[in-house]
Amino acid sequence: MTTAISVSGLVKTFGATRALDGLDLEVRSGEVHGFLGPNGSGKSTTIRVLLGLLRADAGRVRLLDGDPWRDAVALHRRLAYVPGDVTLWPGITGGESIDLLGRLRGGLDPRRRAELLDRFDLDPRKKARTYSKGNRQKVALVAALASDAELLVLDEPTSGLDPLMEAVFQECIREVRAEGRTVLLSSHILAEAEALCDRVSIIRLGRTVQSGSLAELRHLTRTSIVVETARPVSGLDDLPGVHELRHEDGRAHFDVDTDALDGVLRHLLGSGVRSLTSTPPTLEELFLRHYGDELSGNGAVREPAEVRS
Amino acid sequence: MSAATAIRPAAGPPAERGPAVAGTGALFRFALRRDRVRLPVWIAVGTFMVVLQSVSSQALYDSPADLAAYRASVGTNAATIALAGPPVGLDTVAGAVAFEISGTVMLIAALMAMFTVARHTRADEEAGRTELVRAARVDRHAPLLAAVLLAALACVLLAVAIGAAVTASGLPAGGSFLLGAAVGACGLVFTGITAVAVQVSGHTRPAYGIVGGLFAVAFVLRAVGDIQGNWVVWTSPVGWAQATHPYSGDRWLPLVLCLAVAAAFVVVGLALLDRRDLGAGLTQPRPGPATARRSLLSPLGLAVRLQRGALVAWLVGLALLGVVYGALAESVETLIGQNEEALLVFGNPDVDRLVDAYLGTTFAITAILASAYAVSAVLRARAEESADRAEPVLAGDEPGGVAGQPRHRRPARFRADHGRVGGHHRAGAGGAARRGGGVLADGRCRGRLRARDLGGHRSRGRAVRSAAPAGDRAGLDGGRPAPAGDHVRRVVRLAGLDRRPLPHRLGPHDAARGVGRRPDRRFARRGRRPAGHRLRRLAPARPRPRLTVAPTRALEALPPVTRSGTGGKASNAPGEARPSGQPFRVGGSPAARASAARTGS
Repeated sequence: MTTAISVSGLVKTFGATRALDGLDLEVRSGEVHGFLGPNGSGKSTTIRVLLGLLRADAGRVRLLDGDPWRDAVALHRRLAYVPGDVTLWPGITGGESIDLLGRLRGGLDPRRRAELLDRFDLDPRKKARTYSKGNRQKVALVAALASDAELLVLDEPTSGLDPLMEAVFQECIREVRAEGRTVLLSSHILAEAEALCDRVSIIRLGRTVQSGSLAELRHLTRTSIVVETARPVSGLDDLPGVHELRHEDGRAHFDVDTDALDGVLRHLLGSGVRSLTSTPPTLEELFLRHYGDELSGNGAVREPAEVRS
Repeated sequence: MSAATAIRPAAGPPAERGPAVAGTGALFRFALRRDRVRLPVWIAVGTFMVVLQSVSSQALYDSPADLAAYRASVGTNAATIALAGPPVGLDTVAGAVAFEISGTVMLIAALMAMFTVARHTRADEEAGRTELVRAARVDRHAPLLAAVLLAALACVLLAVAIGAAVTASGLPAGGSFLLGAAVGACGLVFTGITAVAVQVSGHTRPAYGIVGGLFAVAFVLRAVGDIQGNWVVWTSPVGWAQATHPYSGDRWLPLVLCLAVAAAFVVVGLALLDRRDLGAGLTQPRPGPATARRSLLSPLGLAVRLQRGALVAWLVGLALLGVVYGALAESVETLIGQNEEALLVFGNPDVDRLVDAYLGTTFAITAILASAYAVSAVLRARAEESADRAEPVLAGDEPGGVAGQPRHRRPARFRADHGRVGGHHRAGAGGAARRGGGVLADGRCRGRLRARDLGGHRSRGRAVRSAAPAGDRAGLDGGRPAPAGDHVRRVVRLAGLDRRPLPHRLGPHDAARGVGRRPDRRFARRGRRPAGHRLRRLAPARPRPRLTVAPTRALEALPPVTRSGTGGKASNAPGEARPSGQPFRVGGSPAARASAARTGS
């Protein structure tokens, strides 16, 4: 497996603001890589550095074995980009914009373009000033997806799309992956990352806090279990790795650290299990655990050590 | 991974760098396509102005005696020289044409260059379009290069168009093409200046401010140099372009200076581009306050805050202009004292009155500039709408503010607040006062009438078209014999309502007699009616604009004759100031700029 994007120790400051503070990111060729983080964590800044639009202050950045600032023109032949907030030329139609962007990038497949327009239900004859945010987003998506780029860089590409179009988008990304292309997908929509991504990197305050496959990340999280037993379970409290235990209608609800699962299940077997529901951790929970301190405001602040990054 | 083979291999090893200008061609063609209407209008307006001047001057100075009187009056009039250019070649009609129109049309060229370059660079960057473009196989220099090429092409076409059209109107070909080339060269210098300004500033408006300010400085420097007849002329790009002396000296060498400086500016712009991030200027934004001050918490407060920078810049600029004009007053005496021909024609003129006339004219110029600010302040409301920033303000529920108004009146209130900021400028602006007030009243009035079409196009055009003439109404209103009113009246004539050549508009004899008090018999004899005449006739009947609704309604009901006001020479037909059916855009309409060009001179 070769590496499509390799970033280490990336620093970017804007005046007194340190937008990126030693960020690491590695995207392997052929994978869909989720790039997750809350607003203002530095996702777009990282992507702009990767595109050679911003100059890094420190750190090592390699993109498709090139230097994104120095080799921008040559590299951009091989990638396509969809920004989070697409602005188009007001007097130019969507179709014209798609063709212009395609041409500037190095050509696009007209058959694929037509197919994508159809799938995204986009009228290419409307002037851009009449498009909604979602439709402008579709213009950039069609231009990017109709290209033969080996790397797609998508910065919150679905932020303006309705659920139907989001499904179309996910379908397109799966096709892209099947073709062996690489996708860097920045998002704060966790369901999207869960549905599409092979691996994810989670960043916060300009620093990578966690990176790995979803399976690897889940390993670090808790599984929610609801168990109904013949006899009331006792002693669960004393087991290591069990959290938030409560009993309702003869059922025990609790979360368990994934690496403590085995011991807990052995303990349960002694009580005669009638039914057991196990819910794998969602990325949402993962996210909350990482950003819990920010999301919960001044309340329950979690120790950074608990993040186990 | 059989599907992977479907992907085409990369075009070359990644270490290979693309050409330093990759994408410039495609972007240039695209820019050409975007400006296919805009640029021809600019070029047509510029050319038409020169041709009009040529035709009317040739008709007026058909006898050597007329020409001699003209030469005598112009050579001694500091105000005329300050407005036009170096008083050379006035012994021919062609020279008089170049003298009268070159400064104005150079302003047109500079504005055309400025708007063209900024529109395709900083404005696109600010909107986020450049990000999309530069993520493609486009060198970071390409958008700037494409914009500069487009502006340069427009300047060349303007030069050729002026040369050809003026030759066709009957003036010598050599001088005509030199005049065109001088205008184009001035445009090229400001192309270069804009290329630098859009790197320095992170936003479009301040970039316009920088370039506009530099043009004003250049124009004043050349005025100083021309009046004093010294080297100061050579500190100004406008001075270089006018130093070509079309039809008399026919010097081509100053154009080389223009081209060299233009190229140097472009090179500096490209170098600065390498030193900054996309979307940023040369300075990093500093953090501002976390909470809003009380003074910001109303639509008016917001308008004041948004326009604060421009307001201060204009005030400082106008104050400096006043200092320069005042310092030049002494030169007026020297000029008339030196010119024997003038003494012959006018006898022994009262020098004090000449100085007064000069100062009056400079106040008038300042008044025009102040109204240009007032117009731009009102148009800002429109820009806020277009950028969808007006909506949250209008939807707000601030007591006593926009929301305190009935729903249909909210956009009006919003616009009026922006207009009010423009109106506040009048405190220090002498004759501009009532102009500003008029614009303000009009902004409010239009806002009322167009309350429901937030975001629509029609009102946009109307706001542009009507704002400035309303200023004229305001300036000409009331029938009060106030001196400021006099000046404004003369300004209106200068601004293009009056088609007579300059000396008749503000020659010393004219000024001493009190310009604009009488209908002009000369035109009456020729069966033509200058627009200014009609204006004067209508003026006394007009109510003074106030901030209340009723008088503005009365203004609204007036016949549209005044509409031709700042539409300028190019669009003097009553009620029609809209060239080629192009819809107006805020800050983007060629006619609006043409009118700004007229008022700015």
